[in-house]
Amino acid sequence: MRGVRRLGVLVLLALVAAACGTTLNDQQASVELRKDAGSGGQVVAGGGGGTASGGVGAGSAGDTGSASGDTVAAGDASTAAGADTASGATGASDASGGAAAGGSGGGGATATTQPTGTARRHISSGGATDVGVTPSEIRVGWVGTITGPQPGLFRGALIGTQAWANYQNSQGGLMGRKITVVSGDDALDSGKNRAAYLQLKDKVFSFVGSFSINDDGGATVVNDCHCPDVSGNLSTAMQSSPYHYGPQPQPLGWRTGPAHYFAQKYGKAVIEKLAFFYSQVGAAIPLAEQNRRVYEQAGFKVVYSRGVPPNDNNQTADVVQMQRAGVKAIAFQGDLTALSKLVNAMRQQNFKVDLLNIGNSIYDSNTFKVTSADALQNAQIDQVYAMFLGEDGARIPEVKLFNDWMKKTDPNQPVDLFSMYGWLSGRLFADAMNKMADAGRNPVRTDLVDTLKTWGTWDGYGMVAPVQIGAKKPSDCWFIFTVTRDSKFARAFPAGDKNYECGYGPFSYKP
Amino acid sequence: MSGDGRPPALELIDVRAGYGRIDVLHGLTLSVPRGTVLALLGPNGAGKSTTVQIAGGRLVPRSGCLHVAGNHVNGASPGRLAKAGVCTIPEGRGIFPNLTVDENLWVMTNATRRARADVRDRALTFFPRLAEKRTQLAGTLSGGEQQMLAMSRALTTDPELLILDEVSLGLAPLIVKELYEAVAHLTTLGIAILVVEQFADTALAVADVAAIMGHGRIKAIGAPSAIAEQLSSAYLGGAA
Amino acid sequence: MQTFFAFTVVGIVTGAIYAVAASGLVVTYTTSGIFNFAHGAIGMFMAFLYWELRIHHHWPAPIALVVVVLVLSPMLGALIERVLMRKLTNAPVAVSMVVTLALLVILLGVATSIWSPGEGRRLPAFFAGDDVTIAGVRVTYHELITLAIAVMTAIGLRVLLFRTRIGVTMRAVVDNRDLAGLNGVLPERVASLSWALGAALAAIAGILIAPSITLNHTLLTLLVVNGYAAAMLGRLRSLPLTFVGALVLGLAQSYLIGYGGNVTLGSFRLIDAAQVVPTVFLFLIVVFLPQVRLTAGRVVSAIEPNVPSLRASLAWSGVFLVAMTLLSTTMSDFWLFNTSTALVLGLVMLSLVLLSGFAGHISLMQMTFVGLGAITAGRIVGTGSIWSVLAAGLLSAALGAAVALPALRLQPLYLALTTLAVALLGDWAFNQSWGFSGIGGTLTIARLHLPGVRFASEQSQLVLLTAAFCLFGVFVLWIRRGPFGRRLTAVRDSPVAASMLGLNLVATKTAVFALSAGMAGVAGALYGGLRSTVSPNDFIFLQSLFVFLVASFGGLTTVIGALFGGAFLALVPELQKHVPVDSIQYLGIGIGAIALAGNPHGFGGSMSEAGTRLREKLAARRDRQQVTVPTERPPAVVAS
Repeated sequence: MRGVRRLGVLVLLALVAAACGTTLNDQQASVELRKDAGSGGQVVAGGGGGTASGGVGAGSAGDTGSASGDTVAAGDASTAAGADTASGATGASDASGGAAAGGSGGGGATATTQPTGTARRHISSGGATDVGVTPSEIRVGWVGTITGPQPGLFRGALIGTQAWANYQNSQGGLMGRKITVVSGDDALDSGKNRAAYLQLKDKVFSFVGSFSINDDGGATVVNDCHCPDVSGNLSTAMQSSPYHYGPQPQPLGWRTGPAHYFAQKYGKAVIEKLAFFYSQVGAAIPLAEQNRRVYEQAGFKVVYSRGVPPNDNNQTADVVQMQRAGVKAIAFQGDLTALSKLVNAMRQQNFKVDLLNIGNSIYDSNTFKVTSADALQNAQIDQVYAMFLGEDGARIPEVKLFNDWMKKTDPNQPVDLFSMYGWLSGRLFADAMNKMADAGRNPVRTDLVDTLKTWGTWDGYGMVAPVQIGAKKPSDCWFIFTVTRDSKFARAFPAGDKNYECGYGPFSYKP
Repeated sequence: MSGDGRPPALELIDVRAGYGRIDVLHGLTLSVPRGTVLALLGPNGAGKSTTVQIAGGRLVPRSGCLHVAGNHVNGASPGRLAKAGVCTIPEGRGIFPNLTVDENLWVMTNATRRARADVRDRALTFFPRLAEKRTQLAGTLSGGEQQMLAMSRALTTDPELLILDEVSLGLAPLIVKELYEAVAHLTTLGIAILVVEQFADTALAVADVAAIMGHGRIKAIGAPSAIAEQLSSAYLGGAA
Repeated sequence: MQTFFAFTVVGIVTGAIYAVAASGLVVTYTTSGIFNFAHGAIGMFMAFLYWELRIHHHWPAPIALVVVVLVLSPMLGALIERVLMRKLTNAPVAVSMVVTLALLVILLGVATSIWSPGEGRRLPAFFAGDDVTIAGVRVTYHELITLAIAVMTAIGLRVLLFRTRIGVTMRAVVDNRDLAGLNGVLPERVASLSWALGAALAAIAGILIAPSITLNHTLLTLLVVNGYAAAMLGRLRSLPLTFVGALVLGLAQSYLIGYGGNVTLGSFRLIDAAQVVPTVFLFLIVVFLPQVRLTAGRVVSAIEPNVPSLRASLAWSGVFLVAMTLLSTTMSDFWLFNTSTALVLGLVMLSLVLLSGFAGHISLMQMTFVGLGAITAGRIVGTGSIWSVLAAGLLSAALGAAVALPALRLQPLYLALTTLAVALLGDWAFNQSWGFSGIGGTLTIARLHLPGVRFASEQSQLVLLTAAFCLFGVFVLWIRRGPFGRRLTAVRDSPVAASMLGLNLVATKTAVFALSAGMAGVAGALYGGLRSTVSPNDFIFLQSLFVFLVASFGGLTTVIGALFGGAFLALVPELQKHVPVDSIQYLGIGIGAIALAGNPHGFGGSMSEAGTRLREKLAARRDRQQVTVPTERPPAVVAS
């Protein structure tokens, strides 16, 4: 079972993926989005305006109708207060520079036109203003899992980060400087994660796009050296570091919206017959508990539950149990391997349920290699980031941009969740840097941290449901996708142009 | 020592061997011509068992030569030597206790071209007592029966050279007598036999030649009657 | 009733797969005397190979099956026998364990390199979609085939072993290998055959189980631990009992899932224990089944490495400490941290030097002790204080004694399997979120502070750990020289003789286990402090396995070997970043362990020997010099 552990790792990831995704906070997102598309294009002026007003949410009107716009509205209704504060702060800082916000303001619609183009906005006096900065270059550090028991595990995150850097450099870099990504490998070990952070801390300006389940090792380093870290985090230690800000904050808790939505949609007969599965990996259990709590608070009754150990092969027994308990709905927070074992066993026993919310680890390019589409009928899976594998390419330009640059950077690297986090982290970092540039400031670590700390809502140009960066607040918004008979993922709810639904309930923190 | 011009069945030339860092044989030279029974005698620790191990391929000499029927066979495995006609009946019970009598006989066919049934018939003809216990586990036989089963190999696999290591140890005199009748029978077939015994009388009775070992070398060799006279002094430590 | 029947069917099918896997293990063990820890790895490798042919290259299933099960697997098995195992015929158990464990690691490494774990792979079940309904339970054709294969395996093995000459010959080899040779049997041929057969059975088990657990390197490799448990019921010899054991295991797991959901003990649900059923089973069987009597033991090596005197070890420690302190001023935080990691892993290795090197016990759970130490230091007593370090040592020592006591009368293999079982239980317990909290499951541990001194910086950690390593090194050598050390060696070399001499085996073994575990526990506290955070992943069985293998080729009998082992474990991953081979660490550890398997003193032993020779040479020269130039003083280094 130890080997299993490595597996466990995967599981955890999956969970995290599910959870992170989850976390986005719409309001903020909306705010950012709000900047109206046009201004985005203009870069400077528009951006500034957008940000400042973001809090209000009024901007949405001007929106191109991107999902984010919708989101915002909803978010405002339910959660306005928090969002406002945050955005207010951002607005203030923006005001000085104006331009920076442009980028972030873009929202889905804007993304393409949007001007990260540093060259124009940039002001900073040249020179080596801080560690890792030269007149012509800004070095950023990436630490994640490349080798080890699961070789190539998070290589996607590195390529995603690199894809962003390539894109950014094609737009003139940041603050008139070229971005260089320097990577470190932790071989899936927190000690080596720490070592990699130690190795890079005196060479890079900031950490960007790092991805590892062992980032607790790096967290201690980041705290000691006060190095900014803009990346997808997985550990609580990193999450709580005052120097770490990520595109999808992930506190202990769960989104409540989907549970309420399902409760309304399916009614008592179904939701009072829930089977709840989760990966029995220590680190993943707390999150799963939150997920379960949210279901139960929404009226679900768990009639069968089991923690599935990674090396488990007793799924048939589970299916028999579920049949006996009359299960009508299934919720599963686990990795792709675990849940594919379950759905394959269900298919074998010809056992069907009305609601199959088996977690968004299923949203993976490998899914149909390990399971078949007809085993996934009735799948209703809530997710908090865009369908980045490409399905959303038409409605969210950022998805297309991301996919294009992934292909240009490394055509052999499959696009995965981690590459999306790498990309998003880069985008967030660039937005913050641009904001600093617009304010006439130099690339200085403390300034970057301050900028992030006071940042309000952000949605990665529609790529994620809106979150609050500085407050590290996840999103209340989500959408639901399903699996079609011809082995494709497709959006199922909300209908229409709306990318994310924000109305069914807020993100709920662990009580 | 080749009586008829053909090479001896077994020849050890200046063999040194031992275990770990300890040498047991210090340049042993010994030859067993075809059709001869040689009794190898000597006190405990003289190197008799080591000699048997060398001859059976279970121990590889550090130096010196091992010849079987004129072929240089240093380093050949016991299995190969057995196939080449060296039949060692080891000290203790030379049988597989967890196999039945039948199965024991079956395993013996590894050393001969004879068919399974042929081997069984020959063995049972010689030791009819085993016939009724064919399906019994060999480990449940009496000591004498076990030794008969072990001796069956010598009788059924047509060896060129037979090495008997302490076959009489712990057996009733009557049984010993029966076993040595088998040995006598084998001598009539012209097989060379090396008999190793700590208690010499039975061995000397069938031997053509006898040798006394001490401290890893041959101390004396000659006619059994001549050797018998030297025995007591050898056993009492005079061999040095 | 119908539900009960359903669980029974499920359990029998699971048991059938365990049975096939376990029977292969038994066949190999009985005929070659080698317990093949890599059995599961072979099954894993073959399942992947089958996937490669069947799915990737679209071969028809029957052809792919024949090629993999009847051609490639037997070839691999025979190859392994020829290249590795044949040399081990008369080797100590410890050596053959090192080799098969190393083989496991190598196969894992090769498989990960060929078939990247990042890609999803699924083996379809045979006749996927077809099933029959028996008493309301759908039983798939695949499951029926699995059952049929298990039955056929049982019958086939029975026929082979009792109705064919080669089979009877195999049993003869088991009974008495020497005598079989005298019967004209070539035992190496028999061994080849049994390894080929074992590998084929492993392949069948792997291919049968893969569809239900998806293709995963580690899962498939470890699945066979369940097989170990089944095989152990038959004491690794009896095939019928092995089948019974497999069936009991399968059913127990199935019923536990079926009926354990409602049985709770506080917050603990019995159903969550389903995954450790085989491990517990293994532990109980090993501990409670009657054992074969103690063996006489054998001389591991003619020449023991030189044990330095107290003065010499103190002097070297001083030199080392000063050198490292000086060096630490020139190193970056990165290298300080890596070097510290090497030292703290060296501490763990030292605990193995004591346990395995001096006392001859194999432990596959050393990292479990380390983990317990880390948790103790991080959780139980004020973290960062010296008391937390001491408490870590004491608690781990207690666990060590607790493991050792029931395992005392065991032969080396059984003792090793016991530690393996406990390591797996530890994995499970650590993972049950016990001692770890938060997302990512990490535990924060403060760095040591003594009154007036804080070891907070990387540099101070290096000095601290160097001092700790020196202290433990001197301690271990002091033990080796003293009466306790001599007792350990006596018990190792011949337990029978030692007990006849009136040595108390129980006390001796318990003491050394506790001492070693305690050292590992202290190392755990320091390890946790150095890393600041630890997670269950850091202490999994595989880590213990790595530590054991690296210690084996670093040298289990010398302090320098421990240092080398620590450095290897800490620094090879750095190297890995610069080579294109994915699993260089696996391969390095595996190959290193195999290469040095026959040399119990490993790298450290060679170093020590070289040192001795050098000293002698210098001494000789000095003597000469003293003759010619009597007034000249010998250099100080030589004196130390």
